[in-house]
Amino acid sequence: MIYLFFRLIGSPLYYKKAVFEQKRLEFAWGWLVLVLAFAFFQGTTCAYGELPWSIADQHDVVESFDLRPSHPAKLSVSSADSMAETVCFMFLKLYQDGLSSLGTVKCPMHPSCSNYCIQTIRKHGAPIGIMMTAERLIHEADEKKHAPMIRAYGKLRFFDPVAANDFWWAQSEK
Amino acid sequence: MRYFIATVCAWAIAACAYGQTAPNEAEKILGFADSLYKRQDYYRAITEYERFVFLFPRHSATPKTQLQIGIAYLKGQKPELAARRFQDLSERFQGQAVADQASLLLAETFYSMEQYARAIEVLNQYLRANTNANVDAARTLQGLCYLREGRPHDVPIALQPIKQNSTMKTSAEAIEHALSVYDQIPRKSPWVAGGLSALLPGAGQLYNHRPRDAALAFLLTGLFGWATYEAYERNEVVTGTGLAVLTFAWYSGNVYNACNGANKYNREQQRLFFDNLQVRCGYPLFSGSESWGVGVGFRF
Repeated sequence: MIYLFFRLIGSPLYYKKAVFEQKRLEFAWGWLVLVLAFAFFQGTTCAYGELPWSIADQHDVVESFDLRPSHPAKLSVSSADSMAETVCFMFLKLYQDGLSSLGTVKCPMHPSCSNYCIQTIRKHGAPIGIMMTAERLIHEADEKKHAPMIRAYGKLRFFDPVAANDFWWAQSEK
Repeated sequence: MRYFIATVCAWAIAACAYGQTAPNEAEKILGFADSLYKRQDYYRAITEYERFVFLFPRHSATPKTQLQIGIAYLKGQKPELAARRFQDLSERFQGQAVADQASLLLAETFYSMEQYARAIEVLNQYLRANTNANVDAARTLQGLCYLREGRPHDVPIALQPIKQNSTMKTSAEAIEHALSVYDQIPRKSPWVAGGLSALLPGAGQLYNHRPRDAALAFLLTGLFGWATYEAYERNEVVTGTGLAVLTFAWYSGNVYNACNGANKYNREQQRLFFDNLQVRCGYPLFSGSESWGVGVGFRF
């Protein structure tokens, strides 16, 4: 395990300097995978389920309604989408139907990061949508201290809609 | 003839019995609705209030019960439905006390929906037509609206008519004090935050007091940048270009995150400032349980 760990992260402590020089790209990939995996899985720890009549005592629940159906609607690509948007949506559909549908990892935010990406792309177009999605993935860690909670799809989640992140420059719907 | 007399007697007894039990039934329904309302079970309370309105449409308590339905919607986080109800009541009972109360509650609903201009408009209409005891509370809410709307010069004009012996004088003074310290609310510059993160990913996030965001922004942008550099060093152009696109996405996301974080910080500070001010002003001014004497025990 220790060997695999150091092999993955390519620690300069484990390898000789000459080997490190030869395999710098592999090391970069190893670290990237590690950081992404950490960022991906640490987000799931704060999403927790609850009994039908229980009340969350950790955070205020701003909305007590439950969203139906029990899963968010699946993405559908429309002919009105631009080429860049269609490519983005294809990747997102691949993610939602593949990795996400396995059910091993659940996003603790509402909307989930993939749905957030769809909403930002639909609202602001592909370039800004991708930038805002990268921003969402970065701010997810600290946002849990600030975001209110919402009951969505049977679980309490941190409420972080698109409007909460573009309110200072985009027209909000009231 | 005997049958006729017996029938008349039966009708008379039934009418007396109905006359005695009807108010009891009304009281029971309203008492139950009030108890639900007191327990903050607003949606079920609304159902019971609606039952009362349906069963006793001509009862003297019906208009106030409809007012109470609007308040329950407001407390139950459905301000749009509350506004619709208050608007309807203020139009339907024009010239009556219920309409005035509905107008004030409508203004408070608009305030809760952050539609300050509409709240000010409703309050202006109310203040032009009324001189009763609620006028000072209306002026206090108007002062709050002006402050929120970013019209600080109008705040003293709204609060000036409140007399020294008024119960709302303390609230008015709290708003005037808030006006004097409004510029001292802690703020972060989005430009500084964005500039810092553009120079060094994560620096703007640290400026915004978001250390986790800072660490993640630094690591992701740095590692993707490093991988891009190494790919080009090895002449792996396709991999390098793909990585460069991703690096740019993370980098721009990092700069946007810094600006967004500063704006969120400012909004949070504003929220704390106004939450504190609202507590000192006795907000909610009109939908509080003691304001109208609505609720529990038939105090209409």
